[in-house]
Amino acid sequence: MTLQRAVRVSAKLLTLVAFCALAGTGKLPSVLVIGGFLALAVGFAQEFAPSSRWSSARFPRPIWNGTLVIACLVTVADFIWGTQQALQASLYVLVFLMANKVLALSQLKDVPQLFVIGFLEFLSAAVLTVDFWYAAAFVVYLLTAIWALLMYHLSCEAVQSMSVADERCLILMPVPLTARFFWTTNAIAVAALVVASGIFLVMPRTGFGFFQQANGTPIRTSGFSEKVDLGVIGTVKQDATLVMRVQFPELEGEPADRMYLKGASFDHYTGQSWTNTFSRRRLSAKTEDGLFEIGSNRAPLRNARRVNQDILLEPLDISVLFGLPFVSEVRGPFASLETDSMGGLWLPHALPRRLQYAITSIPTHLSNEDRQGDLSDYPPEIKKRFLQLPSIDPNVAGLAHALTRDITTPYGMTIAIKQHLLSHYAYSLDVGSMLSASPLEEFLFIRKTGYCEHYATAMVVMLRAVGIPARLVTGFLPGEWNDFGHYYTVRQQDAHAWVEVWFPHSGWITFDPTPSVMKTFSNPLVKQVGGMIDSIRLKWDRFVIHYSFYDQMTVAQGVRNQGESVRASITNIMATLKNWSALRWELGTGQISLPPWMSSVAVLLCALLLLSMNALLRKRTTKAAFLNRDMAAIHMYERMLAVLATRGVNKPPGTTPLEFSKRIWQEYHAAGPLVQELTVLYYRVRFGHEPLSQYDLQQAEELLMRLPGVPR
Amino acid sequence: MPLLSFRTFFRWASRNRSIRLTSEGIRFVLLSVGIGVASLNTGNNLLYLLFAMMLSLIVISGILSERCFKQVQVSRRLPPALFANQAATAAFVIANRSSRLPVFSLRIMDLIEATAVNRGIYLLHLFPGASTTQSYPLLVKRRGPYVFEGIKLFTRFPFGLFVKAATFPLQEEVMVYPEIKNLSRVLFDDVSMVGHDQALIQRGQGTTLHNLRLYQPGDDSRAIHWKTTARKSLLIVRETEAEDQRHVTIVLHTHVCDVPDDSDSHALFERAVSLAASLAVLFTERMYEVRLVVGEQVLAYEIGEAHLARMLSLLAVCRPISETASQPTGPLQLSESYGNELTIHVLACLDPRATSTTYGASRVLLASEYMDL
Repeated sequence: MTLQRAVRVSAKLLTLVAFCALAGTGKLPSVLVIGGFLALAVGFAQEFAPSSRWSSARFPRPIWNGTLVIACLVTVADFIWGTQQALQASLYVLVFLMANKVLALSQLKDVPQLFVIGFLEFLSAAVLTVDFWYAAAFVVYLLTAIWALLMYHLSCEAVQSMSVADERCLILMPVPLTARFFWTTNAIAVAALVVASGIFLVMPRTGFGFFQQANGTPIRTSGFSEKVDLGVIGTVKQDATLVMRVQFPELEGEPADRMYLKGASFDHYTGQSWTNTFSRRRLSAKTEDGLFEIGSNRAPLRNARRVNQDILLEPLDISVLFGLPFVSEVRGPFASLETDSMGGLWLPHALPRRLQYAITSIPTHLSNEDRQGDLSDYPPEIKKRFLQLPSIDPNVAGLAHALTRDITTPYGMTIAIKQHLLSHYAYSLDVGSMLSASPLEEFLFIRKTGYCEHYATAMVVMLRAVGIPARLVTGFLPGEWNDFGHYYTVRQQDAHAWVEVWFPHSGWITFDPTPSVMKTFSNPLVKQVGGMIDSIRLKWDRFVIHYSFYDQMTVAQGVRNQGESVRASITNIMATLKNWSALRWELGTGQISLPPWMSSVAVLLCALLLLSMNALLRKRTTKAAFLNRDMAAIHMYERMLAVLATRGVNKPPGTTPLEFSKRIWQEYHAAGPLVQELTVLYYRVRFGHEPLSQYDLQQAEELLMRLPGVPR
Repeated sequence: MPLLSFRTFFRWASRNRSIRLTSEGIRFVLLSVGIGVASLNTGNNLLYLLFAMMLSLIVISGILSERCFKQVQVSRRLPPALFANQAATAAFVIANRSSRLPVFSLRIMDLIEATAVNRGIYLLHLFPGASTTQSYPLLVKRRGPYVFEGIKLFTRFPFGLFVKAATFPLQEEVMVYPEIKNLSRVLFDDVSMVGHDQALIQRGQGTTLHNLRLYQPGDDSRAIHWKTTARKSLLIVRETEAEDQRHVTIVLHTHVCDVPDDSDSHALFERAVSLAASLAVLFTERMYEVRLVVGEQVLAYEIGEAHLARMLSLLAVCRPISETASQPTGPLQLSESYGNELTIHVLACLDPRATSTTYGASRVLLASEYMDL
């Protein structure tokens, strides 16, 4: 391939990668996607067209100018009436310019313009997406960019090196595309990737943010506002949209206990809906290192087991934060955090972007006193608030009393009601009308099928009916465990409602009256591949998209700690060396007892010795190779003389090689250049004492191969 | 102390190196700055990623260009001497010391008087372990020692964003002899025949044929002229002209004339030097023993290439003496003298004060009269 074609193809390839990235965002109108790919296809066809007429075909300038005006008008119209976003509107002009340059790429000066257009497309893609595929696009773009820039640079240099700078010289100039060149260029790309990664990690994140704009549409979800109608969760139970990923940094495998990611809690039931009557929220204090401290500081909780969670929440249309109950600390990229009186965590407003935050929870456990306590222990404020009941069918209370007739403890009553619901009702999402006048009664006495909301509501109402304080909680079950990334993938369909029961000594304890539903398992291979992809996606989100100043500080802290531990280890070793006197000869057995570190030093010394021997051997081999090459040069000259003798040209004994070379020019002109080159190589070795390189020897061999075929 | 150490380190790291942005590089850096500002503003990590990519290209540029310089070994091949205004061939020998990595895109220049002189040598690609010799025409306009301070390598590799230069301090000096003019045959005859019409030609040691005669006992058998001996069937020997008849003294007057423009006087002096050098070459070629007198420096009669080189070297470094300096009075006194020697005085121009010094000259040549040389 000639250098001219190489530079054009690489530039078009780079543009293709950039355009693919832009098209992959899904924000490009279909007409632009089709038009862009069509232009690129024609552009590539021009490069590989068998006929030069085809490859040099150009659109008339008036057509281009007219199209540019149209593209500008469409851009303005899109900005005013369409997307109303400058970036997306300007894509019309950008794609038009790309098509123009790709189809009319004739001169070298056009190439950098195409580079810039491609880069702007790739930049636009970076703004319009955060998806994982951008990582792959980035790697391909970098690799292609290295090739394209290198080809362009070599072309420019080749043109400038000519006495008369003329691009036409590139038509004849081949690309120095050897295997070594190919791998060197790819190695440069890998090196650039490594350096870019390093710079990316250490570059300080400030994000002071002017003219920022929200990106993307949040996911619509239900069940987490201040008022929740009974039955609304059912609408999202069949939606597989990803909501969040939850990682437990301290846990290696899947946690054994069933976990509940709590969102909102509700205390007031109207018969059709649940509300939070104490919706007044309080701002949480933020510590100097960006930590929000939440919840109770009661003495028993201080020494309790803590569970840390890293949560990556997709953009939702709600402002609630999820986490295992009961949250004690929150850290995240938000300026303020509010809490309600039931432990709910709220942002001031819903964030239209992915949110990564860390939560520390302290799970509560039922104490032995509460297992045996009676109904008289509840404080009045708890009774007042969490024993509220609407006017419901007396049969509900009757059922509750019937179930708990012979039981005296609140814990026993709770278990009895839960067991009744678990064993006498069937789980089904197919419950007919979403909203009904008396959904609870329908569930308990008529339909006897329902889903988590019905179960939880029924349990809370029945508990309250027998005088036990309880509340309804909505949130998510952990969903699917990812073996590759060690995290839970939580989807809309994992939305759940459960019950919290108040006990005087233990506080709020979670009970779930909804029977477990067997999940339908997909093909194991598909599941594994899906899990792996999702795990990579999470890592991309975690370490690239949401890489923050806090992460940088953590890394720096880790490096510092590591450094200190290494320093401490070295100090220890030195101290041991200083004090060591444990080496003892056991003369009887002839054994030497060595401490473990001595063995390491011995291994190290052996390795050093081996390396030195290897270096020495290599040096000798190299020297021998040089000597061999000297001999090779002499043999090469002798072979040349032998070939010339067969053509009737003999070297007289008194003639020097240089004189002989001149004589060949006169007597056997066609062989003159070959003999001269071989003579120069021979002189370099014999009199210049310059060893021939492998390349020189190859060149000499080629000349010797050509010599017999030269006509006299 | 740390600041000082950093300074020392940077001075050490940037020794013999310089770097400047190309026009493409300026655009690239401006674009990078723009992306950097955008990433800082938005906090968008993908913009940070692109910014890091652009910075990495700059870093890789620096590393690869440095690598290019490190693995290249460059030397210069010069002719032993040069003549002013006469093209000669010099060459750069460039070798790639690396056995693995090729070298790309090198421009090689001479460093003369702290300035890089472009010789039009450009190397697009050099295979690992390969070497190449790139020759170039070397034309020096001034006589005297010509100093090559070093070799300067320039590269835009790999992306053409920067021009990085490395200086290899390979100092070499070559003597540039005065410009040699083609003296016309007429001038030579005119000069060389002065006094020869009255001269008595004598036999003696020499190379020019004087006579053929019969062999006499005691004659050197090496003098037998075999062709004539064969033709006449008699032993004939050849006699040569005595060399003492072929002596010439070239006297270059270093005092410059009193002309209005100083540059003109120097030009005339240069012409005189060139004339003297041309005569020295001419007479040496004609097997004359030549003595050269430049100012107060005298090179005694000798013959041959080595003597010519000494004469040309002397002429290469001679300097004019200003008119205010003291001038010798009276005829030139030289220790060695032959009966029929030829003495040629070369003057930049006719100066009445120099008339006494040219007394006894066979011929006085004025550079101003030989403007067409």
